[in-house]
Amino acid sequence: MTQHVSIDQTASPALFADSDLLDEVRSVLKRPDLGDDALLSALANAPAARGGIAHVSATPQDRADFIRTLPVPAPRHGLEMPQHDLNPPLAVRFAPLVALWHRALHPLAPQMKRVPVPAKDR
Amino acid sequence: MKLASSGAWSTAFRRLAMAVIALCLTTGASYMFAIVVQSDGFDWLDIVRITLMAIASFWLAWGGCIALFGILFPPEERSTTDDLPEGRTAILLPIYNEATGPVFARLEAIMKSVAALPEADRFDFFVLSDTTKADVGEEEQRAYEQLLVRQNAGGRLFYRRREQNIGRKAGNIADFLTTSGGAYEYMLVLDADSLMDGKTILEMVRRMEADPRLGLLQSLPQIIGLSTLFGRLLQFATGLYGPYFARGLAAVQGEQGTFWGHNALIRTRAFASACGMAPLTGKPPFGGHILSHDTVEAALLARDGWKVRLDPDLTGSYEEAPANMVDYAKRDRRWCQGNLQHSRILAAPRFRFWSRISILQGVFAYLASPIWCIFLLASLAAPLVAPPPVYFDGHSPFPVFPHPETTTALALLFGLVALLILPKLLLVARALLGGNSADFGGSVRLLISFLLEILLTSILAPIHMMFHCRSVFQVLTGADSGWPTADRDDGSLPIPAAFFATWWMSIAGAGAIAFSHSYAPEMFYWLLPVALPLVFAPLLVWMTASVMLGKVTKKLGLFQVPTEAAPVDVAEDMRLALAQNAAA
Repeated sequence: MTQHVSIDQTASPALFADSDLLDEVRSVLKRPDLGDDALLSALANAPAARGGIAHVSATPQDRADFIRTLPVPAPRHGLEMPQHDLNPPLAVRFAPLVALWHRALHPLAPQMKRVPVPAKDR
Repeated sequence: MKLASSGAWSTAFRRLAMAVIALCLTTGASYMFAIVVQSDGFDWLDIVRITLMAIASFWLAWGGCIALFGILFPPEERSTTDDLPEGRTAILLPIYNEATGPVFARLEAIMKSVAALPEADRFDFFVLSDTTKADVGEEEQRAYEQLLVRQNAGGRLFYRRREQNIGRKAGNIADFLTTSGGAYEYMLVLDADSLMDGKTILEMVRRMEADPRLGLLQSLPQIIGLSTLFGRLLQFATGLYGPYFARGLAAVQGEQGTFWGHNALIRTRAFASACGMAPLTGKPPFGGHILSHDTVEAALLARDGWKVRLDPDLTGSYEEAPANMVDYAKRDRRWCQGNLQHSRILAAPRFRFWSRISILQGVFAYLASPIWCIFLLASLAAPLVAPPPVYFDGHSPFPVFPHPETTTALALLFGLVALLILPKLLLVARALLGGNSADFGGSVRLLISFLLEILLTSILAPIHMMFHCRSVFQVLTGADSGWPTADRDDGSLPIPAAFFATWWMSIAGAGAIAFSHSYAPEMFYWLLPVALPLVFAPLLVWMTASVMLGKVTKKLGLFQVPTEAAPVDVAEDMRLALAQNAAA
């Protein structure tokens, strides 16, 4: 249903695989949840990387600036969202009332059963 | 606990007072109208007319009371904190085939405003696209990448596009919640035309952190950025009267407040557990996914015991609005369908009493126009079915002539007009005496703007009524005869587009005048204030969409609003970003 930012999985991950860059990305972006695959894809698709990524090996500040342009995926932490029926059928809507009625009748019901009408008449 | 209890009691008292005042006014108006209509005899049509008048005047009285309560009850002091926010906030921008440039320029302005806060790292931004057009989708992707680089926003700015926009905006937000919502304590929901100041966003988060039972906090968006005559009129009216109407609403709504669908902060977990809505059985317009979901979401949160609050003192919240009457009517057409659909959930289980009243108000916002229209038609037809006058009633040997009730009729008319104008007049008087008339161009200009606003809204009211009637008719019959496609960036309309949208009103207005002249001459002059604007509807719609007339009023200092007197930083940043992006 959901299509997140398009990520080209075929881009060359070898460029970054041997470096500490992935840990650095997690640290700079404060996203320890990001997996290697997601980061490699983000690096491959980084808009700033399209013009050449030589500056990745530059000063820490330049590296941090570069990292802050990466299109990393959003945190994956979904919530349950139950669907509430706002127009339930009458049987459901009045179920509590019916139950209340049954509960109210409950003390009387056994007596009514025990004393058959003809016997009462006699 | 004691405070909360006293707050609930005072809210209940205000609600009761408002209902009593509105009912008293309605009874008075209905009684006077009954005297007027029985002057020429009494028949079944008079009963219909009195009933319609009672419903319509209750609606007017209700609106008048809200404004009055806005003057009487200033906003309450809200608890807040000065600490660093503990929870993270996702700022959500749901979009759907909108013009990419302005949307991302607004987002950039908001991001810059938030980045200036020391607490900036507590906020992330999500562009949630439901765009169906491939070319617009590609533009969005490009704009996202450019914004990412410009703002160094990797890890803070996210973009995702749904292939199928199931459930429209409500489905879009639900999709965010079920994929990423758990990572955030709060979410700030925006619209494509929303603008918010970073400090306001932070203040909203602080207020929410100060009250753990607060599920939704709605700010009061001010309309900005319109340059047509209609747009400036709208800006002026919402700028001058809007805050007081909002205060009045907040005073009677209490903790079962309102949600307008955007510029509101929401507790994500509360929303996720309470606000999932199953589609209604049956087909649209009354079945299927629930439209105008915001009112229902507010009711669902209140149902689960969460506070839903409108804080009118939260400034720094802005939106744009339709710049002409045709765009306004198009938006109303969408909202009309959603609000009428809500009639099916009016009796939903466990809804709070006031939530049901709010839903009913939403339904009535669109039914009021057909009620007025049917009332007018019934009044036109009344002389035709009126019984002949009885001069000898058997009690007196002398003839008894019908008693003219012109004085009562005029008193009723002035009473109804007063219901519409008096609250506005009080608000203008308050602005003049309170010393903030300078925000509206000074005392003289404020007074002239007020008189012009009353005049123009009175002239345009029958056109709005007819647009609403058409919307209700289309929803009930499932029809849609289409709208002119004349979207211009500045909001102006070409004459053919104005004519295409309103030619049928001219025919209806002319027909009503001709009918009245021939068959109900006693109604002729009473009908003119309604029928004449309809006859000239194409001209009026075209003229009010004029940017030139808007500029003239701006030059004269008319319809000025506080945001013009003191420019809004975030709006300036948005314009700058838009210009830079266009140049790039």
